[in-house]
Amino acid sequence: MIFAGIDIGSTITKVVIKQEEEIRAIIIQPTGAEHRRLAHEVIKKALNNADVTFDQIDFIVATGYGRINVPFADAQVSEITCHMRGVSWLFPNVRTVIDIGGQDCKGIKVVNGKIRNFIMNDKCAAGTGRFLEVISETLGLKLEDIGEISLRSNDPAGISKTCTIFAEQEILLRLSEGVSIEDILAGLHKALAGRIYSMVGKIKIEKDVVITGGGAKNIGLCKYLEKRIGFSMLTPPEPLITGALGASIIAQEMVTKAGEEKLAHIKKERKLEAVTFFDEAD
Amino acid sequence: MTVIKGLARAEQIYQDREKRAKELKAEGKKIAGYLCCYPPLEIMTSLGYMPIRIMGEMDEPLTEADTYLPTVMCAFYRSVLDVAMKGRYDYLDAFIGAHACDGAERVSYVWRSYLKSPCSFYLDIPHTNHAAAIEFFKKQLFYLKEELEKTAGKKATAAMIKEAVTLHNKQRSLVRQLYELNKQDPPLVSGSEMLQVMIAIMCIPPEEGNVLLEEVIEEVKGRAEGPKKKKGRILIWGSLIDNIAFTKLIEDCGLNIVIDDTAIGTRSFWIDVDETEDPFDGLAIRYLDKIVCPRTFRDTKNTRMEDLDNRFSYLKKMIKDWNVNGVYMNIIRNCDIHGYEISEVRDYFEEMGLPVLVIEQDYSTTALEPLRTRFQAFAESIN
Amino acid sequence: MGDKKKKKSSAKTLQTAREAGNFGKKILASARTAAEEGKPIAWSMVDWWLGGTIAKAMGVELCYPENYGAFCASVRRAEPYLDYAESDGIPNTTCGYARNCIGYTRRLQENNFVIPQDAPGGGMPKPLFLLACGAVCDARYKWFQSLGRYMNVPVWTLEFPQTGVAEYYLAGNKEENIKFMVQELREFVSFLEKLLGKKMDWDNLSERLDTIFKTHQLAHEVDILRKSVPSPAVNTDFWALMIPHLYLPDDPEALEFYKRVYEEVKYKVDNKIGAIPNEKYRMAFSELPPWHTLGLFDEFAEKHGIAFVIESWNYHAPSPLPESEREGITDPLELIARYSYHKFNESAPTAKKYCMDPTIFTAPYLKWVEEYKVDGLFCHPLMSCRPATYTLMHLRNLLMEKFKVPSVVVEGDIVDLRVFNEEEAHAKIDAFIETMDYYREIRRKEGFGW
Repeated sequence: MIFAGIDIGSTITKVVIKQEEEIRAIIIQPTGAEHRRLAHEVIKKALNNADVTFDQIDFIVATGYGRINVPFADAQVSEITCHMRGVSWLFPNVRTVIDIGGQDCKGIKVVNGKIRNFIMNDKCAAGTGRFLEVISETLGLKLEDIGEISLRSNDPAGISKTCTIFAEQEILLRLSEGVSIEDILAGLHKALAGRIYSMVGKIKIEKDVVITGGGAKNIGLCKYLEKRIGFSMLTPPEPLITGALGASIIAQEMVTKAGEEKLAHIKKERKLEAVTFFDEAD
Repeated sequence: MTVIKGLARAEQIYQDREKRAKELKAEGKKIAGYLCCYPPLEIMTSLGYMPIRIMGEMDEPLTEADTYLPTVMCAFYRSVLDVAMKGRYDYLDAFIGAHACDGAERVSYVWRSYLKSPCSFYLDIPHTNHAAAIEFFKKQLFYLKEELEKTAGKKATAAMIKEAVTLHNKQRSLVRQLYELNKQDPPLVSGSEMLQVMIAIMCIPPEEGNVLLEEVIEEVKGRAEGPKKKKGRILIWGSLIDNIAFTKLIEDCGLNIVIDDTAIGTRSFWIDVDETEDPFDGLAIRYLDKIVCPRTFRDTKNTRMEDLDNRFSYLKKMIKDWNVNGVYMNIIRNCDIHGYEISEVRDYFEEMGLPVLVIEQDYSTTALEPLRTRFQAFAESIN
Repeated sequence: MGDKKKKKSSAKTLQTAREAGNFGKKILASARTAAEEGKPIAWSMVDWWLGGTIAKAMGVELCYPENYGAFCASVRRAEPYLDYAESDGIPNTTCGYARNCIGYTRRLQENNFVIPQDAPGGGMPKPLFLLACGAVCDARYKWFQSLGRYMNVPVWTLEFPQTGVAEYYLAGNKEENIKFMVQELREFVSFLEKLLGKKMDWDNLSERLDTIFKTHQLAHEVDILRKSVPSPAVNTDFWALMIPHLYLPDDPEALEFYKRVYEEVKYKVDNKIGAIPNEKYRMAFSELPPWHTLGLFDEFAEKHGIAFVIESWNYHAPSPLPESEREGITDPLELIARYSYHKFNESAPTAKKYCMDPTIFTAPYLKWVEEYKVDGLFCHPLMSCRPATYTLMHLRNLLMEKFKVPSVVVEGDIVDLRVFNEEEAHAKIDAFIETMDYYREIRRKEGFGW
């Protein structure tokens, strides 16, 4: 049987198509303003890559903050549960998941593949990928480079602010004082790691720790975070897709639980051409 | 003409909370607005004042509050002052502020500096339940009575206050009966309905409130279309929720709110006033000692476990009696008295094996939607 | 690069202010020595001399976590403790002093109550009990209660009634308040006697009280001297000088020290020597300072000639207790209760005059703006301290309405420098200069005296 998980995040949309234990296709692309239109496009692309038709997909679970806008999904599950399932599948011994997304940051405590506790910040950009984005823009650097650069520092600058706006001003101040970019970036990553650590610490960080989301791709952030935690973290081969992967696994579980003959009841009326809201959007 | 009764009536009052007070005022009745659950209703009632609980408004953008209060203070009390400055409570004949917490205390002061009611009293409330504190509080209640008497045009005798105690105790007993109905699964009353009833009875005279409660109890006992069975049977702990947009969001996510430990809920009604010889004794003890809120400090016990049980064991009983399988801890941002209690209460619940969700929220309906994911994930995590 | 870095601490203008920091170190050092000698230690909140004096008379050495928080912030070592408290579930909106202390206590517990080597200022030793206080702020008993997670020590909460202005004038109510405080102090004495297994030393207590009154009298006279133009001392001096009179007024050394403070300030007044060389503007500051960035005020002085002439109501010694209240009172507990209550309510007549509440944190400034010829108020709303912040907007309304004195609002924090923006503070003060000029003109036209 074939299952799909679609994760519409605030900045990136991900799709995973899975057949039994094999991942048939992965799609990662920026989220547009119109989730539904995009959802249609990405799933088409994923179907193409996996070489399957829409009808061949037995069950689709949508997650992420745009999950309610996926009209052809059979079920919606929160991204917290999906991330946890995706990570547990990849790392069965995981106890703590730290997910650093574009607009939020989550900590999930896992015991035997079940959520024991979780925590989430969404009050402001501090502690999220957005913080790093703003910083790289301020410094005129590429987002993917700043982690690497921060590791070249031997003397991280004192950055006390994790409020994005204040930090921007502080960076400019440090630059005017002649502090090097490496040291500034090191200071920023250190400050961000501190902020994430104190937030996730509320659910008590225990081994194994897996880091996911865009933040996991920033080697500087990972290093400073590991320093704060006191041991190393694990990173999935593709840290962006754990939510979509989890959604596809949950899709499979839902079908198993219901039994194939009852599948029809769970499955909502959905057809590929149902995604004709292009007209609606125009 | 059909008379609107029971839950429908509660909803109607909930929607227009000052309506009944204003009608009665037009008929010549005096209205006393009070903060939090500490000013004794019995004193107001016995003097012919209709007590009305002063609340904020989650739907209302704050436009006036910033002139009087800094942004870093309790979001609820900012809203309270905001709507008050916009004139919502101008009709009050008496304003009763209270030292329930720093937020209530300072808002009482600021309120009185700008809004002048014919009668205005600030009720100091001690921080402990020591014998001297109860004695002092009793004296303060006496001052409250004397101040209200000046504008009530009459004196409250012990007999009058005792009569009011009986009336309000009846209300408390009816509220408990209503909550009892939520011990079953599914519960008979949804969290949103319960909230509407609680707010309604805080906004109408106690006699009318008692009739309303009786109607609601009869109605829900017999109805077929109550709340659906859901995975979660949760308890809400925290200061307060006073808007059903919030409880609806929670209940939309697969959770039934079956019981609460909040100030617009059980904390205001759970415990009776003892019918003591001097009614002020019963009032002082009930309002200072028997209301359980983190704002009252209770002397530390010999061991840590004894101390925690002394402060929280009532929660254990609620969890057991209402068969609760999850706890939502509702913290209004910048609430100190609940803020310091988070780790303690969270651990206490977790020791009981319950999943706990802690959210610091901003007391604004526009800030609710981002919380949906958390409630959903929380519901998914309940076994 | 190093020389370009701004200085964060203030240079202070008085010699005695520069020495006052030693009292802070003395508090911590005496507590640690006492701990080593097996003597009883307690952590105490600032309680306006209500309970701390009693404990000291019983031989208990006190340290003050609020002061310790300010200290950790001033040497910029608070952040790790704040983080550590927050990671145990304490919201980042709670008091900076509290989070500093909670983080510190959590570390202390993990280190089996041996003070960690890296503790700023040598650290605070494990207490025998915690002395909380209900005055002004809920955090100051909730925070000590919450330390129960890390150490099993009793908490005593001192009652300190908070009276509204109209209620202060209700017949008999003031005496009811005093009576209640005295009863509670008696309870506290019993608590101590039971805990320490010894009797109260009443003579010692009376002696201490006597010293407090003398030290405070001098501190109060210094405050009066500060009304002079130009101002002989400024806020950064006061925030150092307050340590002996707020925490150790019963210490004979503090009394001796204050004689020198008085002499120094008096000399400056007599010779018309201003604290800052070119005083152009006189500002008041409300309420608690940004301990981590006190150097800011030196910069304001240098750049604009701003002298901060009065500040932080809660830290000031009150005027002496009127004779009428002392007469015939032999119970030192009653004298203490009257004195602390006096500290909080001595401005009630001002509050009554202007038909406003509250007396605390607000009414004193209505007196001060006139007496100290204040051109503007610096409001410092604190991200983490609501009690010292709640009435700031109210105060600025009152000062404008009653006295045409403008104010500038700069948000920040006592401890958490992560939320303070120095550049913004400078920008705001730059702009505020014109505002002060404008209202000076208005006050002149309307016939105010300054």
